[in-house]
Amino acid sequence: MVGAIEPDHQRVTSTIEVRPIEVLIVGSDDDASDIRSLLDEASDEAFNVWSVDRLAAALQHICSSPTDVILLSLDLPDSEGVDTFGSMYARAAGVPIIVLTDADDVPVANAMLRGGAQDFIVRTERDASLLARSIRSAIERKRADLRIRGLTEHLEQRVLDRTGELEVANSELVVRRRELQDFIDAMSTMNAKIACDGTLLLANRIAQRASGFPIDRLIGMNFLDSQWWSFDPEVQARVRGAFASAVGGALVSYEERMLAFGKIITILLTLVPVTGDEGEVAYIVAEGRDISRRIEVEDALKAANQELEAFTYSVSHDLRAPIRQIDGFSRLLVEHCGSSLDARAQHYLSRVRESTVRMGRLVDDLLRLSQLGRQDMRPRLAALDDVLHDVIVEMQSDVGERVVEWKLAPLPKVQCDPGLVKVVFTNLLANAVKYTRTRTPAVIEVGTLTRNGRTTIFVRDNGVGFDMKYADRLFGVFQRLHRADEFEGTGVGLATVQRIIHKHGGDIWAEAEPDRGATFHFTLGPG
Amino acid sequence: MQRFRADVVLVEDDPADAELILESLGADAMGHRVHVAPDGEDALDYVFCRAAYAGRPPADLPRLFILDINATKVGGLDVLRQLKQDRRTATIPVVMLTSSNLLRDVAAGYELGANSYVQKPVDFAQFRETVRLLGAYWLSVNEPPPAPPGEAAASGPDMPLRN
Repeated sequence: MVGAIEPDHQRVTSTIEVRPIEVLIVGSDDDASDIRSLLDEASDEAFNVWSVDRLAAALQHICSSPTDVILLSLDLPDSEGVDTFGSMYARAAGVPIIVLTDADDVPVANAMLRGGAQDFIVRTERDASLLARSIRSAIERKRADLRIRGLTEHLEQRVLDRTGELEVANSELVVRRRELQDFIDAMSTMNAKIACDGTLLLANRIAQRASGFPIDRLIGMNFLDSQWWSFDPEVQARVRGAFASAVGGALVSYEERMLAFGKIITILLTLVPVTGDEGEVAYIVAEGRDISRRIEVEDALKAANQELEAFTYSVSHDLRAPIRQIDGFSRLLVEHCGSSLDARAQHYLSRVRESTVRMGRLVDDLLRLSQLGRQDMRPRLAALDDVLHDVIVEMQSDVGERVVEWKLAPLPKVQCDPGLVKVVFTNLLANAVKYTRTRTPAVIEVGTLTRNGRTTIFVRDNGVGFDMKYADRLFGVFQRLHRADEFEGTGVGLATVQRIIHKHGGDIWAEAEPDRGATFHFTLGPG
Repeated sequence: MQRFRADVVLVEDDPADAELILESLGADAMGHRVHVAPDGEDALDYVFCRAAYAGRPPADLPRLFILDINATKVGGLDVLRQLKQDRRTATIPVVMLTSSNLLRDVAAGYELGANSYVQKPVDFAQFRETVRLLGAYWLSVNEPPPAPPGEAAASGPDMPLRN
């Protein structure tokens, strides 16, 4: 085995020790000469031998000259025994020390080994190769020691560094968590992060208050089993279904009832699946927006609207009878006694009859408007061309002897209630006919425009138009932009039109200029 | 107050409307006699010879009822029900003439056996024409049912004819 080690050893030596080994002998002149002669014998190594006889000189030497190994005698003129080694060891950091000892001092030398000496040599055992080997191994061992110590220190530093980093990261994490909690607590909706099995992972303050539980009890509860939903099995089943859809990857949002803050409220429940790195649903973010107030307002508004419609209906209904009676008796008066009335009485009577007719129209229009609100939509796919054609045929009696040039472009087939759309065209065309009364020829155009992918239908005329600053009053009930003695009308027509358009989910607006005609644009749906 | 035979019983609580209906029917010109009942109770009393009409001969039955659904005291639909439940009056044609066009009222009218349902047009010209037509149709064109059974077979108003 020794043979196997030798070449390796040789190689290491030859690569590392390119210079002679600096040997410092600290001891008597006898020691020095003995060792010099021994080292001369070990001719395979190059040794540079220095010798001093005092500790002070030795300490000075190692500070000023490179020293690879110290051969230390313990008994020196300026130091003795264990102290000599201690002083040397303390000062010669990194330099291996081999203790020179007498045969009867071996126990002391052994203690030196434990204290950090690399080796000891008994003066009487004069063996050159042993000495050389001892020196070499002392240097190597010391070097290995130092390396290990270095590694250990490095490792300890690494551990310290890592621990520090972790502490920083930890406090960072605490800050982040705190920030996150503050952030969700600042939200005006109930918010929670929920594991796919329903476990509540995080909840904001409003959600916590809604639950009535302290936050540390709430977290870890099951969202699906919570009393938020368990007050009604139907609600719970719906929430479970919605949650399952969300876990399946769908964003779910719907109106739900919830037991929160000790009462049942209506919320808009939104469940957002959050996906992980591999596209799997990692957790669900739930949002509950209390819309009870909105629903209350909506219901109140709906009730008020219904009441208003019922009121309008019964008022206009009850108004019909007296109007018919005034109409009837004034007509009978004309028929039976007309010839015996003087001109003034005839004039008054004709005024009564005109007012009655206007009042009748007003009531009829109002009644139709109020009925629109109650009427259900009966939508189907209808050709607007057909509807328009019918309206124009019926319009001929209004046109009479006047010259009206109709410019009709093809209209699309759309999903609508054709009966109601007929009312729209009737009103718009009647207006166009009415307000072009002073024009010869009157030009009335119906067609479509496509702007930003949205198709609108327009009705354009070359009539008297109106000032756009009054446009906001155009669609109000009883709002009229022209005096009754210029153009007759009840001010209900465009309100009716707008209501029908809105019922279809569409929109209507107008463009006009005084004396330069008017154009009404509308859509019959959100598209 | 008419004590004797009438061709038409008109139940109408609005006197102005009643007058216009009479005018439109041309009752005078056609020689038709009309009993105008201001409310449902008066109409039932008249036809069943009760209260103020106790002395009226029960066999003198009208040929037509014109009935406003909104009659006071006893409502139009109630009057209709009682007329149709009595053997003596069950076959007399009843025309509902009313301002209500609520589907509910129309359906109830027919369900209870009304023979016709007419909405009062708001325009007087149309109103007059409508009333004239219905008078002409029911009193001149339409073949009336055979005379009801004699008085001996008459049953009380509670006896239902229709089950």
